[in-house]
Amino acid sequence: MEKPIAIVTAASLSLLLAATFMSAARAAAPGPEPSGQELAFDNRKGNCLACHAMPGDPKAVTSTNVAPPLVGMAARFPDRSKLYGQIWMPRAATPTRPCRHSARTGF
Amino acid sequence: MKRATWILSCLGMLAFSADAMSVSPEQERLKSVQAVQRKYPDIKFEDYVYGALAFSADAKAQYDNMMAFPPFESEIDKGRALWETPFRNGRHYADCFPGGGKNGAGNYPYYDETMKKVVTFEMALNQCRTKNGEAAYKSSDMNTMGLLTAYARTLSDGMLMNVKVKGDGALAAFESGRRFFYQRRGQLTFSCASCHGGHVGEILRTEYLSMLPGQATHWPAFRGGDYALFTLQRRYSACNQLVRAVPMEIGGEEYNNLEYFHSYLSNGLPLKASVFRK
Repeated sequence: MEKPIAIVTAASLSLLLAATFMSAARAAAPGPEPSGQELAFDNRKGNCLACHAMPGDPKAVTSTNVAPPLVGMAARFPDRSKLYGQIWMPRAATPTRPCRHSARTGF
Repeated sequence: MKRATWILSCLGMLAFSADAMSVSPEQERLKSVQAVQRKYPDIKFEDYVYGALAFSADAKAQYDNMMAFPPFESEIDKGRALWETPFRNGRHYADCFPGGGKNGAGNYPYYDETMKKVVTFEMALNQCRTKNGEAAYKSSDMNTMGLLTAYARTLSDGMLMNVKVKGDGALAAFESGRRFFYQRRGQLTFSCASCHGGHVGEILRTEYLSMLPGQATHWPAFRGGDYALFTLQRRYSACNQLVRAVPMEIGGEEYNNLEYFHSYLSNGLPLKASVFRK
């Protein structure tokens, strides 16, 4: 019973990180490109961990409970472009939420 | 038809703005207190002054330990020396304030009808200086104004915040502060309310988000591992920088109006200076 959840979580996390990475590629930053995980964890970059817990990843150290935890992303976003859109412009779907526009902030 | 829609939408906007204006400062304060009470019925109103500490017994215990023998006491003593040293004309800060400066800070900021602007406690200290022939301190200078308030505000420890908004000018200044609080800003497009509105008591990475009522009561604060001195407005400036906005001027009108709104929403809660905060 535990295993499918773990697989879904792992798959979803990699999907999320991949999506984050895609937006990073657009920024065309000089030097080596940061990994999706770096973008998600670094408080000077994506800073996702400020508001989103990632219970599937032991390296994601945060106590936050502000926003929905990033679990089961593959199930929640079967359409990959929707996930991309959510990261690119979160307020398009949830205008009152604090989560910022990646599009505007260059990540 | 188009015209009718246009007129109707204008009327709608008018109705909306009239509605926004019709929330009195006191209604605004009660609304924000009640929102916290609904979400955290177990936290007492008088404990709102502890902000984020009110959500964590551990953090509050650490704070209490530290406040028993504050490691920054010598800094407050420097402020005391500034307060007690007479001006060149022989007069003192205490001569500028009723009660020698005791139990007064909670009446600030107030709206000055002749100057047509908000006067903060820091501005009153500077008015005292200039009236006695001394140059004003820079409000952003923690080594002068910061230290001075770190002591001067202790004279009002325990006083309940007592900010008044009366008259059109005062109301306009309050409104301007309120707008600042709710307006998104900076590259990250956060408003103060993005975090300290609906997300009070939730944890941002590792830190609890403090509630709006009470936030203006415990200043200045010595913050973090190096006990850096922060006046309330220096905190505004740091916060604006965190959301990657160009900060306003410390002691300038925007922050003064924000402090006016912010302090009013702490009305009825006891002041304390100078405290430790993370």
